[in-house]
Amino acid sequence: MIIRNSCRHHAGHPVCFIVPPHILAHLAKNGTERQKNAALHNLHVTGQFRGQRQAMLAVWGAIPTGTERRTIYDAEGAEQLPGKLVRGETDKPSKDVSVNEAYDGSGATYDFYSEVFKRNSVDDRGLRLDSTVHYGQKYDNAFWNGQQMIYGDGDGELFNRFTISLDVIGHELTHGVTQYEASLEYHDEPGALNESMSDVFGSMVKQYAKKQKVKDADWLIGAGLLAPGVKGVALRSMKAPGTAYDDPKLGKDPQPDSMKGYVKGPEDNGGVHINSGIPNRAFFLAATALSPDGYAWDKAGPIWYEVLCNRLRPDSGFADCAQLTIQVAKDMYGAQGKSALQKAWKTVGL
Amino acid sequence: MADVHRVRVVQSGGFAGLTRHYEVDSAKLDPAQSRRLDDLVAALPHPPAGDTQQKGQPDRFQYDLEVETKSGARQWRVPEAAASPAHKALIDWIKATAKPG
Repeated sequence: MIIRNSCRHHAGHPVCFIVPPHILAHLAKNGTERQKNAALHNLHVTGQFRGQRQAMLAVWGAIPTGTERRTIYDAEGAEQLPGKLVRGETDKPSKDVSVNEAYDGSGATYDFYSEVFKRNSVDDRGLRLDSTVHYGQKYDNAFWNGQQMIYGDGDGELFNRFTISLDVIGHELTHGVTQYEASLEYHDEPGALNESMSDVFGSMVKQYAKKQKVKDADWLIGAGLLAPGVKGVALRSMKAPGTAYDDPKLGKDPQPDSMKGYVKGPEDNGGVHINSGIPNRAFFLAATALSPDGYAWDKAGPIWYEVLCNRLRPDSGFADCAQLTIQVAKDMYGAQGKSALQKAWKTVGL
Repeated sequence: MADVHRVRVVQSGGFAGLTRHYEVDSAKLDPAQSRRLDDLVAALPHPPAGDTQQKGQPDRFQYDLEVETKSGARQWRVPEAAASPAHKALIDWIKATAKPG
């Protein structure tokens, strides 16, 4: 039940508190760790309502900039969110491996964005990183719901638990970054770009954690996700889209590696997880050309980040992304950069 | 004879981007299952006028549902995030009862 309160923020908005914001803000700064977590959780949950984020800015200052704050919840097989709080920032590891994977993976993703791009969390304002594990029953999925990450346990036959792969965690959090930046619409070409951004940065999160160079990375997404016995190496390959799996139960990897194989149709919001193979491969080719003995975040990563944050629009398509990355490559790295990007996009048919 | 003849569910999207087909033919059900199916279908809301586009929840499943009854066929596009309890109940039952293809 919503109790109308004398909020000093938006007059008449329906999001009100039983404990007023100024007490929550005080607890967030001065309370014990548990009190801080609970207070920030309350502020965060109510601050998530679109358009009312501005109202929370006064109390957001309670979180020091550049500090990560991770909270892991356990849905215990149900689908109510967020679930039971099981691990907060600075709490010691759990006995539950999923909880620890979500915690460590969120941290690795935060660290990548912070150290490479000076980005302070998903929204660049220190947004808390909340994850719910054990969502649903044998749930073969993970997703970002606009506010937090959610992970299923997999069915055990086709899929393992979805926290098992760091690139999955990086992928989901990057959906949050995209939401706050280009806000690419989740259908058709903009949606496939949205998906590709998540694979591109998710892959870099994994490579960064492992300190892998471009030539040593596997460029696979979800390599640990497939259950034993499934014929495949991963869910997707950025290096060679369409080759990740071929299994009697899973089917064959449907990703095209160029525009010739672009898939239309109503499923998957216009094939956003399928056609993402095309820009994925463009990134792999660009990274290889620009940094043959280096890391993906040396040159290719910054180009993609600039385009994601400052150039793309919600309805941008593949051709827009090609044009913008070529332009930014020229600005950042001159004729060599421009040429590398032109070649990469030409290879995938753009 | 059952009201519902056949129900097809296509699940697509999700992180893995897989497409799964599920189909239940009421002629192959026992009487209790057949009644259950009729009840589940009867509880569905009428199809909305246009397609509902998923907004803001990447990597969720998309369900395309088709129900054939004696009076014709109806279709729904059901984003996982916006599935009504009635849609969810029917989809879950179809997935559990059918063999995936």
